[in-house]
This record gives sequence, C-alpha cells and structure tokens, in this order.
Amino acid sequence: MNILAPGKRGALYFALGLFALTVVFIYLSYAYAPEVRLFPLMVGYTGLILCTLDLVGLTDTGLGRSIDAAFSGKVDEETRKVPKFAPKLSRQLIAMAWMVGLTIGIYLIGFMAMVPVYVFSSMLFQGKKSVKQCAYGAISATVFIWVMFELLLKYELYRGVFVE
Amino acid sequence: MFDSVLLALDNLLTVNSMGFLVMGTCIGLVFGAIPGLGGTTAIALLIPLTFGMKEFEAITLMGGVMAATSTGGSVSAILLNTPGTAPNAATTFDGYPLAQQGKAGLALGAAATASALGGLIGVITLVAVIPIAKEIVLLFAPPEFFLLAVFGLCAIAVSTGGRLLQGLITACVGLIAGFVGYDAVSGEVRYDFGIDFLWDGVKLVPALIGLFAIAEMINLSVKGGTVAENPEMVKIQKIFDGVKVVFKNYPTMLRGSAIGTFIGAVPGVGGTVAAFLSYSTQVQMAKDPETYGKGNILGVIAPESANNAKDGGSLIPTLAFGIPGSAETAVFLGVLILHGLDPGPTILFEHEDVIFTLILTLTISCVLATLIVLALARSLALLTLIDVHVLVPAVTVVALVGAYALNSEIGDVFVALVFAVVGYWMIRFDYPRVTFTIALVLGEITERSFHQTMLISDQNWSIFVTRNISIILLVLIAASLSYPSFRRWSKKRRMRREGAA
Repeated sequence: MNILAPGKRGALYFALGLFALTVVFIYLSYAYAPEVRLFPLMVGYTGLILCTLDLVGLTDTGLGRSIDAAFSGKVDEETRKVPKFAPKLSRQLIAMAWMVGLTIGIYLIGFMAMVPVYVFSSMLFQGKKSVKQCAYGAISATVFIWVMFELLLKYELYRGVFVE
Repeated sequence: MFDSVLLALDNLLTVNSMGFLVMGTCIGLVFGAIPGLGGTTAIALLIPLTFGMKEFEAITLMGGVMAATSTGGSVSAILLNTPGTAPNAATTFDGYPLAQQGKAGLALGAAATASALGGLIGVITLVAVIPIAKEIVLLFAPPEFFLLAVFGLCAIAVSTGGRLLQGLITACVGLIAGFVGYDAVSGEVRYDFGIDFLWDGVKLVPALIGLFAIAEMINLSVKGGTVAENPEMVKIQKIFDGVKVVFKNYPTMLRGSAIGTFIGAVPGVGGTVAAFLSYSTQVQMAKDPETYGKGNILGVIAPESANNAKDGGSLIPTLAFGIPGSAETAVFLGVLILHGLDPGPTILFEHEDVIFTLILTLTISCVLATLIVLALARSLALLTLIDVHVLVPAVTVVALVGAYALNSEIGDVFVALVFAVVGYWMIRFDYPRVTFTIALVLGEITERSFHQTMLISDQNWSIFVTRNISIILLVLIAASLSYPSFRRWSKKRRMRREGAA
C-alpha cells in the first residue's frame, strides 16, 4: 500500500534530506561546550520536530492531511493538489551539471578562459544557436566582464588553480 | 538649522557636487541592477576615489549610490526574478509574476515611484527623528531584539502562501547555515569541518547570489523558452499606470515607508527585513491574501517603499550614535571617518551642514533614479523576451564573478554553487527561500541577543514575559503562527454557510 500523497515522491526525498541534515547538525552540536551549543540545539530540535511534521504531512493519511491543513490554512480538498509542473529528473540534473561544470572549470582555468568556453558551449548545445551567434555571445560576455571588473573596477579575477 | 540648510545647498549646487551626485546615482542604479553587486560593494569600491575630494563631494557621491541601489535592484527583481540587492528579494514575489503576465511596465513604474516616495519619507523622518533618535533605539534591549528577529521569521513564514511549515523549516536551516564559522559570543569556530575557508562563516553575498540568481537560472534552463511565460503578453505601455497606482494606494506606500524607516533605524536589522516585513504586513492586512505571490501590484509597492525608506532610517543610528543600521551605512561610516567627520553627537552639533548635504543628496538622487528607471523601463522590460539559453549563460557568469569579486575568494564561487543547487530544489518543491535568507541574515544577531538576554536575566527565561515590548512581540508571534488555522476555520465557516444557503 502506498501511503505517500500523489505527486510527492520528489518532495519526500527533499524532506528526508532536510531531516537528515538536521539530525547530523544536532549530532555535531554535541561536540561543543554546553553554552556554545545551547542556541544551535534549540534551533536543531525545533527543526527536527518541524521536519518530522513535514514528513508526516506528505503522507496520504488522516494525520498527514490534518498537519498539511493546519499549517497551510487550506481546507481539506485544497491540500491534495498535485503540482502542475513536473520536469524530468534527467533534465534537471543536466541543468545542474552545466553549473557544476562551469564552477569546476573556473576553479581549474579561471574566469577569463572559462567564461567564453561556457557561454559558447551552453548556447551551442543547450540553446541550439548558430556558431556565429554563440561566438558573438561568448565574446560579448567575456569583454563585458573584462571591462567591468578588471578594467573599471580593478579586480584581479581568479586565473585558475595552475596560475594561482 | 536654517543656516545649515543654506550652507548645504551652497555645497550641493556646484558643478562638481552635482556631477558626483549624478555619477553616484548612475553607479548605484547599475550596481543595484546587477545581482550580487549592490550598494555596499559600490561604496566600498568608490572609497579610494574620494581621497582627493572635499567631504561634501564625497558625501554627494556616496549618497547618490545609497539612494539609487535599491531602485536599480527592483529592475532585475521584477524582470528576471533575481534581486539586484538582497532587500529587493521581496519585490520578486509579485513583481516577477506581473512580468510573466505581461505587466512588467506596470510593476516597474510602481516600484520606481514607491521607491522614490519611500525614500523621501525616510529622509523626512530622518530630519524629524534625529532629536529623539536615542530614546527610540534605546527602547530595544537584547530580549526585544531576539523576539523581533523571531517575529520577523514567523511573520515571513506565514506570508509564504500556505507554506508555513516549510517556511519555518527553511528558517531553521538558514539559522543552521548561519552557525557555521566563528561564534562572536564564545569565540569558538563551529561546524567548519576543518576547512579554513569556513572560519568566516557562510558569506551572505555568494549565498544570496546562489540562492536567487543562479538557482533561478537553473530553473529557467529547465523550463526553457523566455522569462515571460507567454511572449505575446509582454506589454510595456503601462509604466505611468504604475505611477498612478502608487498614489491610488497611498496607505500601502505610507505603511511600507513607516516600516522601512523604523526597521532601518534598528541597528543590524536592515533593508532586507524591512522589505520582507512590509510585504508580510501587507499580505496579512489584505482582504485577498491569496492573490499575493501571483502578481498583486500592492506586493510590489509595499517592499519597494520600505527598502528605500530604510536608507533614511538606517542613517538615524549611524549619524546620531555612530551605530550603523546596515552593511551599507557601516561602509559609509568609514567614508565619514576617512574625511575627518566623527559620527555621533560631534557631527550633529559641529557639522550640521554635512548632514543636510547628505539629506538633500538622498532626496535628489531618489527622484533622479526613479526618473531614469521610468525613462528606460520600456527598454528594460524587453529583457523578459530574451531566449533563456542566451540569458542563462550571460547572467550566470556575471553572478559568479560577482560572488567572487567581493572577497576575491574562489571558495565563494563554490558557496554560490551549493546554494544554487539547494535553491533550485527549494523552488522545485515549494520550500520558501525567503525565510532561509532572512534566517541567514538574522542568525548572528538572534543568537547574540539570546545570549545577552540570558546573561542579563541570569539564565531566567521569565525576562521575555516581564517587559512590555517583549510581551507585545510574543503576542505578535503567537498571532502570526495561529493565523493559518484561523484562516482555515473562517474559510470552513464561510463554506458551511454558503452550503446551507
């Protein structure tokens, strides 16, 4: 029997992640002196209770519905709505992978080398733009960042782990 | 006083001063509009430029920046759902849905007008309140600061459209993130996992860039298309309707300005809390709270009037006591000291003309920034038609450079990435980012106030129920937390009555 409310599988994983984070935080807090951990523990235990309520609220049970309704101010029939927009997990992971790739690239080769590479490849592969448009985009972004941050604001942008 | 005003006018009405004022306003607008930069960065970066200037010229340049940044920040908040500055985050809740509905011009017009009027009210209050400023700020002791922070979090969680539980959870997670690093109370470094970079804690600017700007870019990338859900609907001819709507709804603007001025004057709380508190107050007082977060123009007017009014408010403790009301005024304090002006009673009695030069600068800059935004709104609104696959890489790289630039730390880029991923999942599963942000901002002041309260009371918790302002704040906290249940009860009662009819 599936007790999970419809369309809430992803939310369950996220809620479980927050629950785990709170448990780990409480565990780590006990490594500090009582006066240092007092306030963090107050927050941690409050968070733990709230996360538990959230997890129960995700279930399709009487208690789950009551919790959901009590905190949302919605009447019963409004609480079971399934989210309208549910993109594919693969699509979301790909979007995040681009950001992770950009950050690692910046760490390795620095901003001025990575910015044109990222803008060009992102517009080409994700946006399906022409090579000419991608080149214009990459050059514009790089020139803007160079003029704005290095030339006008006198920032020395990170040059990559090999140079630094 | 009249002599000081005349002297201030004399200082201001020179080619140099007016030039610096216009320059400061333009820089403030640009820095405000680019996510991650903001007024604090602009003022900090401009400090070396003021070395050779006369003190009133430096003040006109900095005053111009301070008055214009939040107006600039509202542009990216409305058009791109990425607040230029942290206080503009509350503007995204209704400003962005309005842009998606093709009413970007209306939202921009209303935001710019509310900003100008809010800024003017803040400045007028600054003039009026300076003589009694000390008494006002001294009413708040650590127990009140602690409860004010808790109330702020609860009120904002309630205003997140039926997501109170999730709002409170993200507030706790925000506080947890705020605990990382050096603890000002005990002097101990906590939750650093042996990483030196974390000793300074989670830095606010990269965290906010990740949570708002980059998370939104991931979201746009997943959705595809353009920022405006239906490009056919983007109409930008209602800019002056936005101006009119502010005057038509003047109680909202006045309330937002009052909240902004008051919160701005409370040291350390700042414009972000002012804007969010103004927004949540507006939602709670509205007859149609369910329309907020979906494109209600009052949801733009309330935070925008508050976050500009806070400029005047935050200068009250800065000028009167030398206690900065915000990060921006803290840097501004450095500029005053650099130019031989000692904030506090000395500046009040010996350099009144400098205070009035600043007041006049803020007034002119507020209006000037608004006129520039109104004039350029049509072009700015076109941003919502840009293909996301062009917009996403452009905004992402600028945001990451912004995350790095403030402290020149590559670790900040990774902080922005982590918060971007967390922020995306928060968008995806409807966990409010706003309570997370406020908790991160208020984390230190909340914990410090709590410890100070415990020290004052000798670990006696009854201190929270024996002081008048504390009792009022506790009642407000209880009222805000029970609001959803009350709403549900009244909704059920109405449905039952309609069913019977």
